[in-house]
Amino acid sequence: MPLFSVRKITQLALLTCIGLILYVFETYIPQPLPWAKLGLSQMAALMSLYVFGWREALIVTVARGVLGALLLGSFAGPAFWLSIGAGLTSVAIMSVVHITWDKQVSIVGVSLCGAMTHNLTQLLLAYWLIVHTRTIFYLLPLIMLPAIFAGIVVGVSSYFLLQRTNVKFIFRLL
Amino acid sequence: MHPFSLKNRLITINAKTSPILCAITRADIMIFIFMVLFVIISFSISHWSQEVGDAAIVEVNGQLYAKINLSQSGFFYIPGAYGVLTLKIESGTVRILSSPCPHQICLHRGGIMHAGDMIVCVPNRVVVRVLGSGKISYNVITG
Repeated sequence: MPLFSVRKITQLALLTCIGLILYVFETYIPQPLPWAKLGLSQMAALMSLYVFGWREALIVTVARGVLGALLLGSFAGPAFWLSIGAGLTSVAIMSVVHITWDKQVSIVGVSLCGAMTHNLTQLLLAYWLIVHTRTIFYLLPLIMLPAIFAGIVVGVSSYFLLQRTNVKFIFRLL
Repeated sequence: MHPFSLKNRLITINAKTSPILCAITRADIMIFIFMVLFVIISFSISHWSQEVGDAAIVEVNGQLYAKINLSQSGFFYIPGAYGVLTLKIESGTVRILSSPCPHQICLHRGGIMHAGDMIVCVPNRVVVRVLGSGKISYNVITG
């Protein structure tokens, strides 16, 4: 199937919408730590990775990042570049882990890797773009701990979505 | 007959009892343990290399704005991108008292007094750092 057929565009648009809804929704979940978001929009990237492939996952992530920033009003601000960069690297690492080790790593492991690289990239980009002091890396444990929790939650949810409710079948059918 | 038969187990894990535990592979557990170790090691490094600071540096937009000795108590006003922040120094601790930023994360940070601690207000592009007098007691291994 060519990358930009109308059917493919519709399917990817649906996945982007799922990611957007989750992205906006998770701002309403009470956050004990302000920067520790649950990353529910990674679920859309994971699903497009597992149902279609790494190119589609990349498209969905970038589209979701741009549209989400337009919706929430942080377009072209510092948070936007952090989120785009983190989304790109997390999709790249998730694709690499999934494609090379599909037999050994399940979706929970892929999602854990994605969450870890997402938060690490946010910290690194904050170091390069905003705060140019090395002491920001003292925040590393505070960043990685919610990443572990978020990775497990997103991975388990995506597992149940993909295995038990036949989302793959529905998407292929559209 | 096996001395350890299936009837002796308290819980059996199969697709009916716990489908998610069936799907988790050994590599997943290794990734999880790696991340937990990462958190523990980075926490230990940051926790045991702290010492009391003696001066606070305020950077706005990456440029040095002010350097204040922590022994001077008082209020200081910092112009950020959104507005004016109020810095309060008392008994060797520096904290942000008020800020026009939307989420007020910098306020919730509280007081910092150890060398290397920092308060960052991203919308205002303000960084408040505490400098230390001497070396850090723990040598971080580089490379």
